[in-house]
Amino acid sequence: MSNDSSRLWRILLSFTGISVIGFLMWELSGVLALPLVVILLISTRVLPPQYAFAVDAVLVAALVGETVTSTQAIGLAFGLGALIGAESIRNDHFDVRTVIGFLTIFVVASGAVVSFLESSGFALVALVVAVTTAVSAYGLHRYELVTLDLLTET
Amino acid sequence: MQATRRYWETTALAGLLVVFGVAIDAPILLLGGVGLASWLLAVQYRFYVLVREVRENLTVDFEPLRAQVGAKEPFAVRLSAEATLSLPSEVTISPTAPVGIQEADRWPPLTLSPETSFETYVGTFEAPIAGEFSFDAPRVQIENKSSLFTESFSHGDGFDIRVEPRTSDNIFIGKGGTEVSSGFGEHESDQRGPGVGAADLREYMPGDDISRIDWKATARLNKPHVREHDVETTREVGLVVDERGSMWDGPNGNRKIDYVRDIALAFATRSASMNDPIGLYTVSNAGVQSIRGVQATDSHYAMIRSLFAQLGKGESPTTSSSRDSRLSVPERAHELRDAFATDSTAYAETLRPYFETLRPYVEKVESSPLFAGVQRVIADRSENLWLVVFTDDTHREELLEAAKFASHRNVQLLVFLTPSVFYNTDDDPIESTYGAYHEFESFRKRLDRLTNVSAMEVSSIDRRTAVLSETRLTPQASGGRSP
Repeated sequence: MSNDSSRLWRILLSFTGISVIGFLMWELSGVLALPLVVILLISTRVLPPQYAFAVDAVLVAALVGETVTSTQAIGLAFGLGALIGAESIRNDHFDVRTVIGFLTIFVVASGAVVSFLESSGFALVALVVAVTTAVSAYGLHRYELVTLDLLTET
Repeated sequence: MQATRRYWETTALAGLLVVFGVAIDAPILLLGGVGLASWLLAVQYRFYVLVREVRENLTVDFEPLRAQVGAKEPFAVRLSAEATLSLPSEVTISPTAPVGIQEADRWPPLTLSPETSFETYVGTFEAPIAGEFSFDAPRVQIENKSSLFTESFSHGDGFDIRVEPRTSDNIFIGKGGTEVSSGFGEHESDQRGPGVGAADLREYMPGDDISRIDWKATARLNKPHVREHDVETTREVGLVVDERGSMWDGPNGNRKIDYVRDIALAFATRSASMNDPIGLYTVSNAGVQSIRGVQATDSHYAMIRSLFAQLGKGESPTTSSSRDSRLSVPERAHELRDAFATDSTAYAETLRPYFETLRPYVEKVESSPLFAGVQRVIADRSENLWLVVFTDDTHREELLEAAKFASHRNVQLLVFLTPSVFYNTDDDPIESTYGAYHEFESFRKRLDRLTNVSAMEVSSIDRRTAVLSETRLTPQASGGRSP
C-alpha cells in the first residue's frame, strides 16, 4: 500500500477516533471534553503508541469514572483504538491491514468484556482477559516456530 | 520469537490498567488493558509475517576464499546476504566461528533493511592450532521497528576448512652443521632389471627376454647386448613419532613437536605422492599409540595427515602386543646372563658381574615405549622398510638401543633428533648451552655411526646460529671441536 494511502488512513483514523471520543466525552463530561481532546492529541503525538494509549485510557477513565454505559464504553474504546492505530501507521509499526485487524479484535473483545461485566464480576472478567491474552500470545509463538521450521533453533 | 524488555514493560502496563480497573470498578481502564493486549497481539502477528518474509527471501552465502590454510595464518571468508524486504525491520547476519578459531579482525554484522537488499563483507579468521574445523551457518537476527520482539536462527550453509600445521622456514635439518635440503627422493633399489632409468649394458644371456636387447649396442659391439635398468620400487615407510612430555618443550609455536610435525607431515605428503605404503606409530608414556597398519590408499594418507594435524591431542592407547621373534639386544643380554649364571668357566666368571649390573638397564630399556614402538614397527615390516623416528635427546639410552635393534635387523633407520638444549626457555649461560649442544652432537654422531642408521639434527636456525656465533665456534672454524 502506497504512502499516500497510508497517510489517508492515518488521517481518517485520527479524525474518527478523536471525533468519537470528543462526542462521547461531551455527553459525559461537558466542556471538559475539549481540553481532553487536546491532551489526547498531544500524548499520541509525543509518546510511543502503547504508552500514549495507556495515558489516554487513564485520562478518560478519570473523567468518566463508573458513569458510562456499555455502548459508550465500547465507543470510547474504539476511539482510543483508532488513535493508537493511526499512530502505529505513522511509526511504521503497522500497515493498514494490521490496524484494521487490531481494531476488529479490540472492538469485539471490548464488546465481549462489557457484556460479561453485566453478568460477572470485574475480577473474573480480568482473569479471563489475562488468560485469553496469554494463551493467544503463546499459541501464536508456537505457530510461528512450527510453520517457519524454527523448532530446532529453540 | 523472543520478547524484549520493552514487550514485558508493555505487558506490565496492560496488567496495571486491568488491575486498577478491577480495583476501582472502572470499565474504561479494563478496556484499556484489553486494548493494549490486542495491540501486542497485533504486533506479534506482524512480527511473525516479517520473520516469514525473511525466511522465504533471504539468501546467505558463507564461504572461505581458500579451503586449506596454515595455522596462525589469517584466512579470508566471504559473507554475502541478499533479501528483498517490504516490512520495516532490521535484519543482521553474523558469522559464527567454531571453538579454536579466532576473528583476526572485527567482523561487522551485515545489515539488511527495506532500503538495503544486498550486503557483502570479506573478513578474516585465524586458527592458532592445526586441525579440521566446521563453521556453522551464519546467524540471522531480526528485530522489528517497535523493538518488542527479536528472532534469531541459522540460515544458509556452513563450511569445513582444514588448517595445516605451520610450515616453519626457520628449521635446520642436517648433520654436524651441514644442512640437507631434502630428506628423501626416488628410491633406488640397488637392483638391476627392467625399468625406466638406464643403468648398464651386458651381454645377452640365454633366458633373457628378447625384447630387452639393445639393438643399437648390439650392432655397435657385434654381439647381442641387453640394457639393464634401475628397478624402481615402493618403499614402506614406518613413522615413529615420539610425543612424550619432553617433545612439548619450547616456546609456543616453536616446540620440538612443532618442528617434528612439519617434517613428519612432509614425509606423509611425499609418501602419498610416490604411492609408498606408510604407517604411523606414536609413542607416549603409556606405550605405542595410534598404531595404523601400513597401507597405501588415498584415505589412509589423508588419515595420516589428519593425525599429524591432531598430533598430541590424545587417542585411545593401544599398547603394542606382538614382539619380534628374533632376540633384541636386551633379550640377548638376558640370555647371556642366564647362560653365565650356570657356567663355571673362567670366561663366564669374569663376565658374570657385568651382566648382573646390566639387569636394571636392560629392564629399563625393554620397558621403554620408544624401544617397544621400534620393535613393533619392525615386527610388522615388509622386506623394504624405511623406519623414520622423530624424537629428542631426552631418552638417549632407549633411543640408542632402539637404533641398535634396527641396525642389527638390517632396517634402514633415519632418526630426526631435536637437541633439548635449544628448546629450553631458561636463559642458561652460553657456555653451558654450547656444552650441552656438544654432548648432543656427540650422541647424534654415535647414532649416525651405526650401520644402516642416519641421524639428523632438527633445530631452529635462529637458535642454533645464535649459540654457535656467540661461542665463535662455527663448524668450519672450530677445527673439529665444534659439532
